[in-house]
Amino acid sequence: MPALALYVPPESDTKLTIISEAKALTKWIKTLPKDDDKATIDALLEKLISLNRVAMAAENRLALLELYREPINDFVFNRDIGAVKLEMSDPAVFKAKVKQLNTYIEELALGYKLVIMQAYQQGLRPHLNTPFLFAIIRATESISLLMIHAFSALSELANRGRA
Amino acid sequence: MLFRHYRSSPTGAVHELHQLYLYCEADEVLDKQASLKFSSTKKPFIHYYSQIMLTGIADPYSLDKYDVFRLFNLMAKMADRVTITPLTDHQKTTDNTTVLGGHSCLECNSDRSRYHFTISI
Repeated sequence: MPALALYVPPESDTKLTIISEAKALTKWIKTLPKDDDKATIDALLEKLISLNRVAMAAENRLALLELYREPINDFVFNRDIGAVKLEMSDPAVFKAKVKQLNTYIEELALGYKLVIMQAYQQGLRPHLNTPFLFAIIRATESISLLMIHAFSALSELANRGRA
Repeated sequence: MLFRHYRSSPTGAVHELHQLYLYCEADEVLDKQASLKFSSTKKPFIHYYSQIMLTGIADPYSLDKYDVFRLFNLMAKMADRVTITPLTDHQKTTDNTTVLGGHSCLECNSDRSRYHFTISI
């Protein structure tokens, strides 16, 4: 079999606060502000980053990642045009928004890659282990989205003159 | 005066996709879907891989803002028609463009988001 060497974050040395049950996470996500994307992504991101730095059983991690994955389409593909234009009118705000979304998608991909590398190191095979295959497909989808977001994220910079 | 530029693909992203392609190919799961008790995939690995590779080949850097999302969605419709095969010995050594015409080459040990594209004229 070909080798897999996907980047995954190291486990944290310090104790992190995470929501480790899908039911509790679903309940917590419902409390996030629906009319404030930035605050919602920030809150989700904080928890997702912590999740990706603690050890956890593969199926439990996947169940949690599915909940973090759900709002991605709204954040990337179905955004309100007015809100996007407003962000783009201020380069600093736009740049911060692009960076925030990039980090979110990247962390989502990291979560799935953790499951992949864990299964790989245990000698499992995707054709015999559904969570392994599931994580591969989701990681591919997330990495693709990360690339698309990078392709689309234009920066507007002040021209300081040509050298 | 303002100007725009595109950000490049994140370092390592393409290479990781290539690794996953080779791994899935060897384990014969390229076109398999996965279903767990809480969720199922809608498409197999090969669909997503083909979709993003087609998008890369289509030169997303030259597009207007947000057109890349339209391109990405368009490529989803084409992804299932893609055939990926190893280069034949003849293709590896030929300098005849008609042999390679219409093909795009994926270098699976690279991190390139754009690929050598040869078309016969």
